[in-house]
Amino acid sequence: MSKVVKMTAPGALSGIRVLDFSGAVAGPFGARLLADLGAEVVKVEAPNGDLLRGMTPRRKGRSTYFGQINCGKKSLCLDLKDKRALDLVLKLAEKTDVVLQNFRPGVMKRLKLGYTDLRKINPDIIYCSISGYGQEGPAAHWAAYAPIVHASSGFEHAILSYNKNLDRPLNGSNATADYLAATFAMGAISAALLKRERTGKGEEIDISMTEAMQNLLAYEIQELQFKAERARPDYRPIRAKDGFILVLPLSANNFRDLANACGHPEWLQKFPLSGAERMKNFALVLSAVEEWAATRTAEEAEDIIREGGCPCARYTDVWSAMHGPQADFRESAVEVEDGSGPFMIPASPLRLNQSHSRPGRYVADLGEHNAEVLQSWLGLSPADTSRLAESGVLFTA
Amino acid sequence: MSIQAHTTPGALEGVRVVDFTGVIAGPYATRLMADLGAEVIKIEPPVGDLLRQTLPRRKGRSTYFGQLNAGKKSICLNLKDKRAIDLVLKLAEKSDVAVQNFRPGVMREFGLGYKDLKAVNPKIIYCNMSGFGQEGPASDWAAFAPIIHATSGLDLSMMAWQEDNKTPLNGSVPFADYMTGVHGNAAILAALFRRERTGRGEEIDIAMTEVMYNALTNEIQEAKMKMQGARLKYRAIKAKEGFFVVNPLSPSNFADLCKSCGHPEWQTKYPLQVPERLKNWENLLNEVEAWASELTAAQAEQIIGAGGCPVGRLRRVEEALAEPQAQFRISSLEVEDGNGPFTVANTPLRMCDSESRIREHVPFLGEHNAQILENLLGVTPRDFAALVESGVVQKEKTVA
Repeated sequence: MSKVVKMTAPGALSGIRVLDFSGAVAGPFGARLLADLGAEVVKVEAPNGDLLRGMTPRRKGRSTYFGQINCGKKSLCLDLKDKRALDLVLKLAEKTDVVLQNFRPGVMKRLKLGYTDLRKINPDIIYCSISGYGQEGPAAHWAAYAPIVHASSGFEHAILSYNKNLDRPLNGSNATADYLAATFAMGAISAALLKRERTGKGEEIDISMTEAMQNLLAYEIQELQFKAERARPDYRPIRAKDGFILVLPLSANNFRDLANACGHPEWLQKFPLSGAERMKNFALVLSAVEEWAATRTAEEAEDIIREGGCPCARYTDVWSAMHGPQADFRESAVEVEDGSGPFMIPASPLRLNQSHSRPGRYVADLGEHNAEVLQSWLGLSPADTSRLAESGVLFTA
Repeated sequence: MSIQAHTTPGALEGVRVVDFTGVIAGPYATRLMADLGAEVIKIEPPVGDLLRQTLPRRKGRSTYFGQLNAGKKSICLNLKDKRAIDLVLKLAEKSDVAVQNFRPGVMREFGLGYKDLKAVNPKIIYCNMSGFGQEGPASDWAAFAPIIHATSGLDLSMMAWQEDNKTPLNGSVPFADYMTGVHGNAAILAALFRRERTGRGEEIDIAMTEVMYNALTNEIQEAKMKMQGARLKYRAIKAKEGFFVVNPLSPSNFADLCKSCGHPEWQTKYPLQVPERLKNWENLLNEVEAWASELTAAQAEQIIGAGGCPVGRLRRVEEALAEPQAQFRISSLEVEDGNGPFTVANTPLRMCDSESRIREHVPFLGEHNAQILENLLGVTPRDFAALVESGVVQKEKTVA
């Protein structure tokens, strides 16, 4: 496929309107993936804004963390507890195709913005909810951030089980559950849009972050039921002179390529990776590679082993990774901007060759599109929107 | 919504997928489609998907494979035989979607690249998943998930948060594979929607490395910017028995936590605003740990959770799947593969108006050879027998 052809064809979701009530990471990233494909996403924010607007790193008060996850959206800022604001939002809900929300279950219902409320005024609406444990059930109301879900879903425990040297769980680092749930939301919404196109019927979608994480544990779930005859070898990092590499001689060919690349064909006889001693020999091979790598930089070691054909990788920080030759070729990093200036974000990992699939360029300030959205969706006049702003229904940063 | 069995068809009912994928990323993407009612035809070489050999196995059948392939059909063909390629092209003509995750270039060599399929089916949606993308200087590098975790920055970012922040962790759960599968599934669905409106096909190109970049927002943004106050360290808290994680991130969560632990004074003692935020956070977690030293993690979770602050006990996945919530939602259910039933994780998404769940049956290699070739392509039983005889179509393996 193309070296990132600049697509002039509209995105796959162009013409689709999304009301995005979500905050933090899971919901907003799901809505951004929709925006990348051309959907018109209106982010509905409370007067104090999405929590993420306050997150570091910030420049001149604007968070680029927020920016990466919200570029390409419009911002509408009002207080949903104000009856006048709620009435406006209900009118917008009549005109939208999709609603996305990740409040704690029950909150949207209390605001009179639940699925049953919106279905009454817009019967074929697609309504997607993301939560830690699901919309109903005994744990539905429990609060959940990604690290909580990682701990309670079994995920952290699974990671720990591959690191026998550790006697306590890892510190939380990446918000995997959020990003994963976001992608599920984007897929489920697209499936529901297709179904609506074919049947005319709307849909309610209920995504559990806990279940999303459990979907990553196929091996662990099966191993629990059927004791595997042998465990997997440890895929441990190998120390080079100035950093680490990972080497995976998993197939017979990979192993041959590794031994040849390192100039040690005798490893093939010395540490056979088939048969009863596989586990022990795998560890011995890694130690031998470590000895070989001790006099080489991680980059040299990676080049030699990879050129030889064995899967190998240098442990790289994400910034360098996003700026290597392959990333440049694909334009994996793209520039966006907010009112404080430009910054880099990763493009969404999916390229659609025939239609636009790139992050929008601009990150909206809080309430920046109040007037625009109400005028274009509801036909209000500029005088109407000014009046709403003056009377305290609409807010801006 | 409650999880009653749906009688309404799935959202993807009527969508047909020819699935050339193997191992995890691709098969998971197409299983998610099968969960929504798509007809997924898995096209396997005579040795079968590599994952069929992966432990755990019973009587030769892998349940790891089963979890990622339930609900699909299998046909087994020798793709190096021109006659098999002709059959596959006929299948592609009658399909909506093709999915593949070979190393870039392999499908073209088979004569099954996007251009080849587009020639017989201009509206086809063709999805490629690979480690680094279909083209470019690194496109032909081998890419297992642990390799992607190392090269994309994920491993070093995880390491940076640990107490021992000098050595990367061992490779563990292949999240890059699953996350790529979910992106693949989502992109295909968006393209199907577009095709419904515009009549146009699509080629999709997903890179696992980029999937991981997208999950590292904080790291990317702090790389080039001076941080005004580094992120909080989310460490696990040790109870008398077990561990738990607590995230009093908002002021009201913090108030709830102090109240449930019976220590309202923590609120004034450890204010979580700048400038002392990081130090106070550490001190607060130490206090919570001291408080929990007489409790099990389960008790601590119950007390803090009931008070409203986000908290989670570290569970094994089997404990998590046994929780009342998991039972309520049917987070796991049984499938079978001819060697008996086993439990798998259900798809995390429920739809109220259409069926969305993992389907029961795991196909054995080539199980649907005759059904697909005879019913879909109109091959006569006699011709079918000849195809099997000549090794174009592999005999189905009812016994592994």
